[in-house]
Amino acid sequence: MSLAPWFIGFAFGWILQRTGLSRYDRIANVYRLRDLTVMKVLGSALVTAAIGLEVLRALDVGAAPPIPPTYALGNLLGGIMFGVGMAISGFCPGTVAAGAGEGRLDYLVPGGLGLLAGAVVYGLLYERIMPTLARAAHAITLPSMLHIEPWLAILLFGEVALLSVYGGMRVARSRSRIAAPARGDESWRRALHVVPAGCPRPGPSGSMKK
Amino acid sequence: MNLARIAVAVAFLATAFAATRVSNAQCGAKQSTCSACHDGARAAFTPAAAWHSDHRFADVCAVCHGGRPDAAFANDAHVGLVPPLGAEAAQCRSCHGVASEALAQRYARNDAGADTGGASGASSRPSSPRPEAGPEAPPHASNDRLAGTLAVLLGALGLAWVLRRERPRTHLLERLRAPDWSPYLGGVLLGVVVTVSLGLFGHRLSGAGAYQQLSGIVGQKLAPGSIYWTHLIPTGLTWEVAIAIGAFAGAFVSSRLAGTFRLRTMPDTGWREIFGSSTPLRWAIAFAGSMATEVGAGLAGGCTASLAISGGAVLAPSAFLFMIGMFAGGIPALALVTRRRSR
Repeated sequence: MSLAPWFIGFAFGWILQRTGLSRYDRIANVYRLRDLTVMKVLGSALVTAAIGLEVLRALDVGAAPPIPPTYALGNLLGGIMFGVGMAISGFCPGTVAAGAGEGRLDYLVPGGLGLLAGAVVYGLLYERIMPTLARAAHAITLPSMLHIEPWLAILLFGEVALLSVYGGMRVARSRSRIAAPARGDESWRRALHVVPAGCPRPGPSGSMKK
Repeated sequence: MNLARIAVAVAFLATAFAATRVSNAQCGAKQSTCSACHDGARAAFTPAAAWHSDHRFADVCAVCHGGRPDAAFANDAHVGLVPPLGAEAAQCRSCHGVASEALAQRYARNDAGADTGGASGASSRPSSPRPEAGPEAPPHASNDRLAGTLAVLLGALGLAWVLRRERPRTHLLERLRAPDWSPYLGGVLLGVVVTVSLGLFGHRLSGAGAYQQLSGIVGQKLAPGSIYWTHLIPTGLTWEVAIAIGAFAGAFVSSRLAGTFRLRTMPDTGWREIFGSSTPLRWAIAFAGSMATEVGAGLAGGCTASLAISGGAVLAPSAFLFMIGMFAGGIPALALVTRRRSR
């Protein structure tokens, strides 16, 4: 096996740790719409990778990337179960490895064991569920489905992502009850700043009472 | 600033303008353009052949035939064609895993009396028609993409220049050395990593897959006859497992360098306010929650890394459905739990 996956994984873990996604509060707070770091990382990574793949394609480098198959019911149901587990326990399979590397034993031991147990359970249930659930699986992409040029699709998606993050930020600001930063032009500027470690964060106490 | 918005708008418009072009073969095709021409009317295709009818459910022409399934014109699409089943095991293995040898034998036996070319090993001639049978590429087909790339690069450079003017001048290296990264910085770097993994190596960034590929150690003993572990999922130190171990190492080194490494059994912030200080409770919920994510990832076809990000990078609907499900499930679930536990 080549060395590539080790480096790719190394970078992946590094980025997860530095952006704080291996912390419980970062993950939990996105599900409370308070700390949108997860959405921002996901959105930026998505748009960057989409553009990057199209650039590689334009330069004729590499091969067609693998496409995860779409089978709506399975994708949705799996997503729901995934989201419930992730919201309550505060990690996803990728961040379990990163958190474990950071010294979090609650990620390493119960997290890792739970993932392995879940994988075994899934394997045991596979034949009963997946052939039916994934019967209509198609490896499709939106640009080919909608018959639009991939660049345009990325452009539109980028705009939708920006709008969602902006909308989410407004919701987050109102729910956290911190003094809203100066409106208008300043908000994007503030959003792009690096948050220094140790900056006081609004606690959850009192914010849920409504 | 207004200038930033103008620059962004100009970049978008330039991309849109440069990116529009007529696409000849995409309409009606699914992911690959193969079937757009090889529908039987315009070019040879034998749906009745055993391997074609068996694989009709999925758009996997290129797995056996090679070529470039995303190209719109014949001479582009036929670059890199290989004789199908010429190297049976290698071509079948990508889906069928360890069962490839046995399955390939099935087709080798069948093609003795079967249809057109593409018989395994019998000829090196590909079963698709000569390049001139398909529509010819107009001379400017590839320039549009190049123009689009340039437009995006120019727009990105312009945006970076504008932002640099507007923002405080923190050196990039300083920002990279900070223990807390801006999510946009982290996201863009993650996007580069994903581009490398997907575009250069053809692998989705993995998360849940690693644990599926370790589960066979136990699973094969529990269910020796299961298709899942014998045919579908490899077991051992695979690409995905290497990524997970690499991620562990990367986070370790990163946290040591940043000074944030610490052995701890509980989350630092956010947990106690909701669930209290009991470590056994945390470990129990961590176990149950991670089980749920792994099963959910199996059902959906991936986790945040392998489906949401890697799938989103190719704009696959599965990724977006998954993300919708994630939040549709997670937000009410956490709200329910916090509401119940807040005083």
